[in-house]
Amino acid sequence: MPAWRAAPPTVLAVIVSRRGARWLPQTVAALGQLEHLPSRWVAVDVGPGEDETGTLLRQALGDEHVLTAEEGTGFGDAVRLAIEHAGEGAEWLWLLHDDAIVDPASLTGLLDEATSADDIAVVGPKIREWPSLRRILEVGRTITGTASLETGLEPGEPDAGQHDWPRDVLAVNTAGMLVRRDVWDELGGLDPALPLFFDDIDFGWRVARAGYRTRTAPSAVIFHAEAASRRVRRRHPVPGERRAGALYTTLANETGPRFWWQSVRLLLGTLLRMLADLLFKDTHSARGQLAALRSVYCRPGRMRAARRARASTARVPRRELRSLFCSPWLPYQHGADLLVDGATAMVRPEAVQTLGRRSSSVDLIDEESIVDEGEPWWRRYRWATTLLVLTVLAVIASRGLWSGSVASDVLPPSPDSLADWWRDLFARSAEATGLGSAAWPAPYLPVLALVGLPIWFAPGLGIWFVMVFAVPLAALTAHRFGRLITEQRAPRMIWAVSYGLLVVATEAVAQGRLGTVVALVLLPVLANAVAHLLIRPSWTGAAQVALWLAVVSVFAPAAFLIAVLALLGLLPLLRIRPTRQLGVAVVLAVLVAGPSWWLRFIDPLRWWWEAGAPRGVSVTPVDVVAGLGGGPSTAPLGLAAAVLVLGVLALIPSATRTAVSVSWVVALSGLLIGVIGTRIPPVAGPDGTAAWSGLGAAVWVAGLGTAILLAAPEFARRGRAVAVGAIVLALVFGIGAGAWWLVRGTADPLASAVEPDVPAYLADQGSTTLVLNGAIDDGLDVEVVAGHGPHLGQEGVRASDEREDRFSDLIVQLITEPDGAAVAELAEAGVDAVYLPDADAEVAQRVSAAPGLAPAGSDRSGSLVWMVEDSSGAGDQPHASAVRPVAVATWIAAWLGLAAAAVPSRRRTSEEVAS
Amino acid sequence: MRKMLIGFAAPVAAIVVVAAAMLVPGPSGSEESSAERVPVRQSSWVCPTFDGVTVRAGQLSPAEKAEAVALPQNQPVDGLDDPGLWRSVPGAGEAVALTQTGADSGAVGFLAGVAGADGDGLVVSGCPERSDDAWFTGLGARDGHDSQVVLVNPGQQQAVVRLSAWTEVGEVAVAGDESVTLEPGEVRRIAASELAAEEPMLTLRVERLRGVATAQVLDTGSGPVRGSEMLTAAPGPAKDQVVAAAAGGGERALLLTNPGEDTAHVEVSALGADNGTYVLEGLNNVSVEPGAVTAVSLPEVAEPLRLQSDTSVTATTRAQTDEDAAAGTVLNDLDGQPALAPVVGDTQLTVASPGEKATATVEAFDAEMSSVGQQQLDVPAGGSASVSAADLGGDAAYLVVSSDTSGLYAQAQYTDGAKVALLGLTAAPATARAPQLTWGG
Repeated sequence: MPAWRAAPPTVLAVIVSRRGARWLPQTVAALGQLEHLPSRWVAVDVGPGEDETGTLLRQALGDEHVLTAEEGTGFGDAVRLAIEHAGEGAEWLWLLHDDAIVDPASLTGLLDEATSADDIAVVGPKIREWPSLRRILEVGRTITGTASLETGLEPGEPDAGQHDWPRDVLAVNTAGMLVRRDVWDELGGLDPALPLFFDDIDFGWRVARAGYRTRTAPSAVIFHAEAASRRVRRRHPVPGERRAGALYTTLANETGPRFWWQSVRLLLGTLLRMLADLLFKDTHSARGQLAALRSVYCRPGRMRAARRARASTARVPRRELRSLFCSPWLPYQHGADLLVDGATAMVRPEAVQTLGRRSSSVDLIDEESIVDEGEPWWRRYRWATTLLVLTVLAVIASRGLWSGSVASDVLPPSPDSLADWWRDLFARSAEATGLGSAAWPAPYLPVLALVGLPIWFAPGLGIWFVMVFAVPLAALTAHRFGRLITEQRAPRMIWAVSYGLLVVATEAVAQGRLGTVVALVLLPVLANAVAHLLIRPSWTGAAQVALWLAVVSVFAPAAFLIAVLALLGLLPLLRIRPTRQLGVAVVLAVLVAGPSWWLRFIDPLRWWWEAGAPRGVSVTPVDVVAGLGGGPSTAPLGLAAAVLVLGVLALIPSATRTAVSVSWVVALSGLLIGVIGTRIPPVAGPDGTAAWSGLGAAVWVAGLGTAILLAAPEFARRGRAVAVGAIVLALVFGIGAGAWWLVRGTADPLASAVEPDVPAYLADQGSTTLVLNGAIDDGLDVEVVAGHGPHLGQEGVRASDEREDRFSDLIVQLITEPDGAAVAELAEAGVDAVYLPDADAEVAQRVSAAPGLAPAGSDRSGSLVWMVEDSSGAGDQPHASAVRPVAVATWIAAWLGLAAAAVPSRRRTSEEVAS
Repeated sequence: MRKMLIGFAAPVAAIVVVAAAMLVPGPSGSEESSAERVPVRQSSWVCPTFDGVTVRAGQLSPAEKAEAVALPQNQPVDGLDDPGLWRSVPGAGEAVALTQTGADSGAVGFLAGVAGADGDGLVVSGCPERSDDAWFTGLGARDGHDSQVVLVNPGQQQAVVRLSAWTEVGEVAVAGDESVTLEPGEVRRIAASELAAEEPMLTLRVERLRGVATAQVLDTGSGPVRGSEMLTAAPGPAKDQVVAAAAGGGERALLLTNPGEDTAHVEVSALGADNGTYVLEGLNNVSVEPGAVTAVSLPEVAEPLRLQSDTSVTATTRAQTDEDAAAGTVLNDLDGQPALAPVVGDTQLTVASPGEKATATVEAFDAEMSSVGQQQLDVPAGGSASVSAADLGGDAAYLVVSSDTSGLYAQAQYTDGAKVALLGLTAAPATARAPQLTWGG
């Protein structure tokens, strides 16, 4: 038995209550159950008359033990009033809140720990959540370098005795805090400048600097409702009071150079928080951040006085307290945790064991919560397991592409640094086109430049990731969308996996069709946003639709046509009147897509020109029907046959026909755009090919697949034979496409790197090379390559038609009348070399006759190179007006603005009373 | 009911969409030549000069400007600077180079006359703009037969050509450097004996490697090969070609060169004026060993020959009279473009069509470029048709052959007593074939 029990120390219990009638009956009742009672009681009713607080306290403690304090009195001042009222005599002060129930053994436990050593000045209990009583809230607290409260506990962590050992801490909560009276007096108690928040941290910090210890006593337990922290107590909050308290506490207690470092760090950090609050459209919190800064930084006199007071009692250097603070990396770990949480939410398993994290938002598409702890993990987390398998398959299929970069003849290599993309954006002259151009940057370049910021020095890694893991990524987003349209888990997973495999079955990945890949990954996200906007119109929802529609459209403009066609078909079918929000979303998407995208309204062929070089493929309408995009080695033609059959059969059940018809409208939109694509020539040849139509083909099959998914319950109701048949047919595409993908692999023509279109020495010299391919009778394919050729993003910029026409005339002159004038004009245009990769004899004879062209070596058999002897180097490059960079900045700002508008608003607790 | 109609309308709509698309032609590549003709604004030609041989300059239509210089000194040549006339001047310097400006002008130059000091035979030859890959069959360096290769660099920069030679026993290395560098304005004359001494039958290939150069061969002889003739360059070995042939008596031979690695089997036909194409007796399967030059006797024919072989060959016909020789080289397809021929002595123009039946117009002009008469030639399929300049107009300076169809070939035979010459016509450079351009990227 501890020694104190023989001669118990005198303890003054102080209860501070502020509109606490909601909790007081239980709080006071619990005090009566204490094994060891305090020597004296004093209760302070702050802001009397607001509710029944005073009455309840007097009934429990008697009139002589209850004080009143005027509204606005801080916790520290209230305690100070109580001590004055009680007079001398108490050795220990026990501070209690009106929203905290004490365990019968709490005071005993606290005194056990408090009397175990002479230098212990403060002891705090283990605090558990009230009313759940199971979750542990804190066992001691500290403060991070970013001035945030840190308890060292996981959010919602259940109390299983895992923290039940006493230890030294920086501070303990004032709820249940037992503090030595002499130390209290020596340090002047709680700082009146901290009326509600961080007063305990500040006090603990001062206690530690004065050479005393603060201990936790886990055997003492109290249950705390945290009424103030959770903003459930009716009161008039002061904007930014919590942040102000944190800033004040840190700056008042830090010493030496750390004070100056923290002053700057916290200033910038708080400003960043304010921006983040604005991003989440939480203007109230943003105002609070600003108010906190004003409150701390604009009152230097108060800060100087606080620091002087602390210096007068400090006896221990700051560095000796290091163990009481958390790791400097902890705030960043928390940031990383947030990101992981976001990603985890995307792959949240079908049956998840909730950790009980408190959420202020309601998931519209919540999961079933069926957990059988006895099953192996891969059965419990089926979707996560499926994704894992798809990821492993993606790695296997991408053999030959493990270098972290990808390129093909339609997907130019990525630049070495993101700086190149930013330079391309703001350049007034795009010299990389070879011919020179003042055209606007590629429409998707702002997105790449912004999204690629975290991988500044390896932007190609992002493109590689999207291409190599396109299947799991598309399956992931599809499954997320699938939760909205069906509750049946197994069909949903089959559907999502089949959708993911569409990306490879169309050959989009293997050919390097980045636009189609990005579009197919994001289309389910867009569909999700559209569905939510139709169900519950909101401006944030409109911004989300606009954002995803814009992103998808700039990477694959044909997706815009498909989306608009689908919407135009859906609205009358569902008898939905188009809302203003939907219209605004479409207009916003068009506006933010940028001038180079708008050109498609003038030149409709460009709708099929997506990110990458607009090279065509051999494709027929039948290919599109079969879900193929065309190209050298697409998937077997009949893979999608089962989907077509089931898609038509899905129309039979009347119960799901409307929903199935919706899917058919989407499918038809894709089919129409895909089929049109097969009838038009690509922007950049070659002759006789058609525009890439893989996106339309994929949407067509995806739409039919969705129809099957929607009709799946009806198939199941029509008997076992029908159900089994439907399942078998539904699996044909997924299994077939998956096997084909694994055998074929992701590479070819996609590769880790591609040879430049010109001999290596010309590329390395940065020469501008005129490349001529073909013959006089068959036509010549002309390309002007600067250095190694364009990197991703630059291929989207073409020389103006006038410039191309002028240069075409020059090439015709070079071919038909190879004289010095033609070569001189070549030189003026900045062309350094002429290259015939597969030299046609007649073309070679004509070119070689031109004076001023000197034959040079070539590193490729059958090719010829001539150097322009008097090349001027730079050439006559067109330049956009000086306003262009400003306009581009506005364009990027529009993207950022749209992204910010699309961020969901942060919800505030409804019980809080606005001041 | 409405739902059902809407629902089942979807597959029907899909079928309609696809069916409609199938009816619309896709972007298919053209199998025909996509090249188009563009006007030539400036053209030039180079004629080497020989004693007794005049330089004649003309054009399809008057041009804006003509500048002629004598190489290698680059001295102006008088009498050639009016691009509105048919001009004729004696040769100046080692060669005469003319540059004429004016869209669609179609400037041409010819050598014509009796090469008194070089075999004393009649020569009529076109003057080329440049020689890219020129093949000459029938050179000799034995028994009084001596051919002279004339290389000219009319450009402002060095030119380099490569020489290759074939004899009866196969390809031989030329004496000296196979690459010949020509300084700007340089005219280099190389005797066949310097390339391959004592060879009775030689085929020479001149490949232009760099810069601008022309190559022509003056074939002279005083032995079995007598007289003189300018050999016009053949474009290169082919499996189906038309070769000029001279009418009249005397010895006739067909010289064939097979530069390939397989034996060539050649069928020799004549594009007859009356009966169309007919295979010459005994020449239905002439074998030419790989890498060899072979001569076979020709019967008397008055029309161009058609050679069809399983391996690419090149050929020349030679008609030897008592005083002079006429050499017929491979003819070029006129490709629907007009071609000019000077009128020299008794001029007989023959137009052949190895393919379809065609119509050509032959018009005679005087030196003032005024028409003095014309005649339409109906060329039978696989046959030929001829007209004499004398039948068109007495004062004709030159003839223009024109037709809208491609696949026509033309030759002109010149007779001046016992002296003969043969000229293969090439299209005047009024227009040039230009490729269709597609911008990649």
